[in-house]
Amino acid sequence: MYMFKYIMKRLGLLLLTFCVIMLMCFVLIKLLPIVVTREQGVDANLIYFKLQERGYITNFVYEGNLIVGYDRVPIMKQLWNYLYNIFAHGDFGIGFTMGEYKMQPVWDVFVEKLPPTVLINIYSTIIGVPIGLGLGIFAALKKNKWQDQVINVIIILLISLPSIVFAVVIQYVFCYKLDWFPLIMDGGYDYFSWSMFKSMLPAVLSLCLGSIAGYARFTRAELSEVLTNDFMLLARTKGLTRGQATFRHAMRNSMVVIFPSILSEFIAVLSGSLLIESMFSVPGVGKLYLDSITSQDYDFFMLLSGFYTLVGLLAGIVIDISYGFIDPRIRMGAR
Amino acid sequence: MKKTVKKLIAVAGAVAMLGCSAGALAACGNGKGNSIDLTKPKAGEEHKVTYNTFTSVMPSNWNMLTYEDNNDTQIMNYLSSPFTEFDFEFDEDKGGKFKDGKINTDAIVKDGFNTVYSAATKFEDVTDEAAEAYGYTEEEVEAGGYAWKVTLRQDLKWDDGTPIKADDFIYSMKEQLAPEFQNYRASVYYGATNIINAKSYVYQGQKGWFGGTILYDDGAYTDALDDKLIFTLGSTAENKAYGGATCQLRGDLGADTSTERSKIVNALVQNGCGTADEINSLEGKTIAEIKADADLTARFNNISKLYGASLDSAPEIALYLTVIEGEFPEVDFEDVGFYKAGEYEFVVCYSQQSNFLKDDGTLSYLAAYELSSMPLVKKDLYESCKKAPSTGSTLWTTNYNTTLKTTASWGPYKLTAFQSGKSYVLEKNEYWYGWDLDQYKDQYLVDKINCYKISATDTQWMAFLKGALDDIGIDVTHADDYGNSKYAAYTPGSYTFSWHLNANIDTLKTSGRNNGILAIEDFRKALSLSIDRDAYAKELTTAYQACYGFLNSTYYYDPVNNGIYREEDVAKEALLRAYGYTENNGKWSLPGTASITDLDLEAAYATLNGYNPAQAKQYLNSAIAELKANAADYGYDASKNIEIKFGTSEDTDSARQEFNYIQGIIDELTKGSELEGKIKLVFDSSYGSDWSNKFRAGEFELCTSAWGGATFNPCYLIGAYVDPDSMYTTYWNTAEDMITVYLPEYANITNEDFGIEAGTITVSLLEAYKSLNGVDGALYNWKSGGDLSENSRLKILGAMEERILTHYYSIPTITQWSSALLSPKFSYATEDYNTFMSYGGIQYLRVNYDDGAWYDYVKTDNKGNLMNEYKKN
Repeated sequence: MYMFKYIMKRLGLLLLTFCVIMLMCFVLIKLLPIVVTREQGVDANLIYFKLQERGYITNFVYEGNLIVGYDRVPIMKQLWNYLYNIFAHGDFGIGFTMGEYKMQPVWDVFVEKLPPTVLINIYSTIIGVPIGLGLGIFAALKKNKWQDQVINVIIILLISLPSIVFAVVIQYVFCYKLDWFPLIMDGGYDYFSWSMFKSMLPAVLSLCLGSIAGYARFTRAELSEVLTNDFMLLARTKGLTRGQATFRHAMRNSMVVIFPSILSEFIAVLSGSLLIESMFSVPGVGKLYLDSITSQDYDFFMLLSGFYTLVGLLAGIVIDISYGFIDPRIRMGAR
Repeated sequence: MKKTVKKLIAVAGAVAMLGCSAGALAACGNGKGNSIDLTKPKAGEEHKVTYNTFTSVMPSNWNMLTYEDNNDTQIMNYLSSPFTEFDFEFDEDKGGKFKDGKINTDAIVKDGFNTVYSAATKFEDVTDEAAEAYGYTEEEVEAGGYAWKVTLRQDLKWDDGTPIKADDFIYSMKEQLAPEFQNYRASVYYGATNIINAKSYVYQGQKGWFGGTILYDDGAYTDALDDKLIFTLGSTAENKAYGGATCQLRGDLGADTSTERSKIVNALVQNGCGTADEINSLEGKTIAEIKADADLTARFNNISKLYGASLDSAPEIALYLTVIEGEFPEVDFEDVGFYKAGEYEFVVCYSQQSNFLKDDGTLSYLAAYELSSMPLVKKDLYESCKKAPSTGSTLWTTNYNTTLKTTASWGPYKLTAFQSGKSYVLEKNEYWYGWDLDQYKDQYLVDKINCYKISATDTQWMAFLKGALDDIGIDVTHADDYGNSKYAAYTPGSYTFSWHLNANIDTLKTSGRNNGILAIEDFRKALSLSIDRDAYAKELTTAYQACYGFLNSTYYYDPVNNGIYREEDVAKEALLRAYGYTENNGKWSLPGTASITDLDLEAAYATLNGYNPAQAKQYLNSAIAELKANAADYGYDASKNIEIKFGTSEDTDSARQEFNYIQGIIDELTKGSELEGKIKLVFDSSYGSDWSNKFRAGEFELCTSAWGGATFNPCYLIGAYVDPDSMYTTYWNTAEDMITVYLPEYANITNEDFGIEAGTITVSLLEAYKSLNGVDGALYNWKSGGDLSENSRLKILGAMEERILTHYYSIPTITQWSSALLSPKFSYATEDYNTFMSYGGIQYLRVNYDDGAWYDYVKTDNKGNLMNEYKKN
């Protein structure tokens, strides 16, 4: 029951935090000056008219044929309209200024672009976690032996280099020279075909190499420490084999630290990797958020801000709760 | 038990998470994959021809009514058809256009062109028929060329077989101009080409405060407005009660919207318009109030005499001294100059004259330039794509032509796949009328166009070298390897890059950067003469070339007679004078340069390079002397460094490179002078997409940009430097900067009001631009085909360019040239670039290998990599 109360309390706080952040985002983006670029042959007044009719500005001042001044519609009124459209009509708005998505419903674009990012992230985790943990466990069990030294060197190498370096090497060697993979991700929506999976692998590998090193280093450090604890000796003395003791006792204890890091990494990659997505032409969300800010595309900015804020806040709760599942000694919300 | 429950919850959570992810992904559809890999064509498809290309930015909105940038045209141009178009000129002596049923590429005439009908079959001047309904005067009817009837082909169809008729064009134009949509491209039809009442239709219902003359013209004035017209001489800031609106009189006195009211009153007092008290007593009064009081009327008339009018003699004069709150009146679409004349005929009525037909009845170049298309949308699909305004908004929107489902084509290709931010595919549209026409025989040989979004340059190159792409631009890093390739083609562009300098002493003094020296013309001139433009182009670009004027060699002032502006004496002389050459009896010299003395025009022009460091230093010293002598006026503090802020929209390698290069130029210029090491450029990339407006507002002092396009209308492009609506250096009042030109057409006329004295005409830069382009309200009819010959228009253009250059507010540096490789799979119809047809585009592309043969060529003959082939000269 205490767990339920704890979760409810956290959810309540989440909602409050979410609302405050979203309010700040809305007000701040609306406070930025409105950009109307003049272009020869195009009547800039049309853009002002459009902004007026979208409910952003009003009360024009004309100088000659040019609009030289206007008032903003009160931001709270705009906020009310925005929320009303979402809750009453499920309408998150349409792209207005962002180059590749003008006139497109922001929700549709977002839903279309999220899957490749999610999928690459899942593949990266599926490949990265077992390899990373396996290497870490092996290194811990062979601590200070040559196998451990070799793994350490590899880990240091992988951790020191940013993923973009792996991407360049992988693309040049495996895609260009050896021709094992396509240079860029396939187009289309058949995400579960072999061809699509194969075309995603260079991006997945570029992303997960760093993660593998991270998991391996983390696991090795945690496991090495746990393996030297007294309870491990007790476990062996009560008759467990080395393997049983390691997996049933040592691993479980070290996972208290490792598991949250896996979760947080999974969530972090949801935002996409700008460089990796650009390099392998992954039609993901990597650049979407950044572009929505620089282009001052209100509707895109608000939807993406909401999404990432929500994911971040939920992740916090999930990670906290996960401690309790991994280590029964940890009781969330208990007095 | 507890443990089991926990485990169950954990497992269920994990399964749900993966399940949701997988479900979401699965729900995203099962569209056909599109791989960039060069694969062996399927059986039966070996002889198809696919053109593989890429884009860095995907198009998003190829709706003719709303598209905003050139990116969108990469799809749009294939989905629509022109009424008329340019075509290569083929030499009949060499066999004409076709030989054995194939395009006779050997007969293509260099620089030649024809204008031919495509989706239309006839253009007809019907000015006389439209005169009554659209108010053309007798002179206009006699001159003709205002109203044009377009007869459509009767076999035009959408890509689903639906016929296209005149009604579709009428519907589309109505939607284009619909005020509830405020479509981005609406102004195309009341800007350069002005359809009668198009603007009024778009503007109807817009409310606000206006100067009296803005909302109503002289003819629209009635007594009923007197209660609403308010006399005011206030500035925008002072007239907050009137929404910041200002009256016309202020502008006519040479003031801008920020000039304080007191200064206007002083000016009126000095002009004998009464005492300050008398003038002030009118402030805030309505015209009705002024008319009701004899004293106020007399005082008003004392001011309006500046226009030679009084409230009695010309009551509409009230509009010039007042502001009014109101809205643009309603307009019926019936009043817009665009109507149906038959099932396959419509008429378009312009407010200015255009000659789409030559004297012999054939099409003039203008037909393909100004009347090649009209908006067209597929009615049923367009209606279904309309989205009603959401709460708080009154704007209707549409997603027509933004996705595969919402796209319709009536061009040679149709969209068959589109993935936002990823790729698109175009395939032949079997319903296109052109397939059955002789004029398109042996053209459009490409069956399918695959376009991938690839942002990373290295990825683009790897794909190209593997044979997966058929074209690529040559960037600086690849220029050494591939610049001389036998597969490279060089294309001149119309864009000229310039530095723009803020020379407005008011904003410079308040910038806090001690940079008032920019307001000194000699300093700006010194900067201009310090630029080694050839080196600049080589250092920063692959193929760009040095340029000295604002209009490069792609501009035709007289397309009919192949009149290239830059090749004319007038244009050459303008440049020579602007760069300090002097003329004496037809011989040109550059003072201070012994080798350039008494040369004829051509020889002198050949020496022009705009780079004269010795002279630059002289001008710098002169500027320093001026700066020191009037330090207070320029806000100059000799103890501090001079900072010039270089503003950009984003921090890119190329922007940094340019910034460093300019700093180098300044360092070299100031070496040995009192300012050595004291002028510092400051890089600021924080201006984002609003950078141009911020430059105009004086937030930074130096930017670089390019203007181009409209290659058949240099008189239009020059407006980018003198029209406040588009120019960067808006602090410069081009309405008061005069040029004087001798025009033989006015040889026998002297008219002070029009600034004409026995053929010598004095006119402002802005007025010259307006008159050359037939802008509404222009003083003269100097549009092509108007009162002036093309030679006279050329003279004015030359004088304008020279005047703009000699202020050094904008300094031209380099002009656009691009180089690109085309894969051996294809070749262009001609190796000679043609301004009208380029190299022939997809239409004339010659196919050397079909898909099957290309696969073998790449994989077998070249072992999967074409690098060595592309390096061959």
